[in-house]
Amino acid sequence: MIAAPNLETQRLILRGWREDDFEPFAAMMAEPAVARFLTADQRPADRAASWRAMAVFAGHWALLGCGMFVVEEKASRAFVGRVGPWRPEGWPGFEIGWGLHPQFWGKGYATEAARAAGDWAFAHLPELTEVISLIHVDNRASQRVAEKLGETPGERTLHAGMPHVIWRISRARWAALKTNRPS
Amino acid sequence: MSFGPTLETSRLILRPPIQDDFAAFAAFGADEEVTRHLGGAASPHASWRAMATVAGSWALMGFGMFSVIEKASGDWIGRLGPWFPGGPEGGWPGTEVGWGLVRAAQGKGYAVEGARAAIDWAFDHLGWSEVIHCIAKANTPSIAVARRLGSYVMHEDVMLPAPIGVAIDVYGQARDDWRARVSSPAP
Repeated sequence: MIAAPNLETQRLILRGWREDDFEPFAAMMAEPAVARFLTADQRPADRAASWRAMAVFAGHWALLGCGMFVVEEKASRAFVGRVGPWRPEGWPGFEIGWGLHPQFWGKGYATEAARAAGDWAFAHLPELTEVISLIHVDNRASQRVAEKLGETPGERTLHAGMPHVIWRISRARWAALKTNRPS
Repeated sequence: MSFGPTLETSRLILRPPIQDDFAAFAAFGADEEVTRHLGGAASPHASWRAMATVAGSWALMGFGMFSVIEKASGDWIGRLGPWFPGGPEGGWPGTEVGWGLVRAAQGKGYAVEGARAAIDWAFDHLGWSEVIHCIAKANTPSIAVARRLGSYVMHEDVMLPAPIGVAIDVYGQARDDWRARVSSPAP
């Protein structure tokens, strides 16, 4: 199997999926504030649906050699959420996506993890010319993350029956912003 | 790189799914006839998610359905094998070995041949004490496969959890019965 690498940022660890990620992942997907923008019906996911969602994340790595990382907080080793590449069949582009437990919102963790995941994706996938982020029009918090990553809003699209905007950033712009990042 | 075993029978190769299986897997998922008892025809996106769920089951739990490859042609002809999504708390009715083959591969005894190998492997490697098969009442060909494997109806009218969401009968048998039968093959 193609194992996810471990990535380290200042405050976070990004790593592959394990069976014991299920409880905190299911707890996250049962949060109404998370489900509002991350489940197909906008309702909290039950345990069976969360297991399948987690299996798809692990299977994305196994099939495609890239995928969402589990994000852990270094200090506490707590499960923070999942961030990283997402490119299932029929997706409008190569996405860098993020979804964190509300307990960890407002700390800059999504941006910190998405930067590491994007750096990894551009370094390991030479054919990648840009990444996108598919964001619900009402999801202000995620739009802020996209702005901090240097993504710009593009076309509107209907996704899971809901209005989304495709945010984009080119490889060149990502690289330019990376060199100017505060360390 | 593979993340599970490869099993071989006289006519079949069983191995975990790989991305190259997707075109065949999606054609299978889109066939209304073969998916009539498996939750209905699926879009390419839904089929990819189904295949990724199988791959993820292998990655997370160390088992999952195999892709079935016909040795003679090299073709992907279906998926078959151990399936217990979510483990004991996932709402699945038991430790299943299930099967689903493309139409062109049905009626040749492939499901029985592959399921026998998968059941042997599951009992040898997963510590299961019984194996079940979730089969819709109207799915006569699959019921015939279950009976040829020596399984019988354990529970009727059991609802599978979403996204499958269909009622099935649970066929199955105990490991000891399976092993007793294997060691004294039918005439």
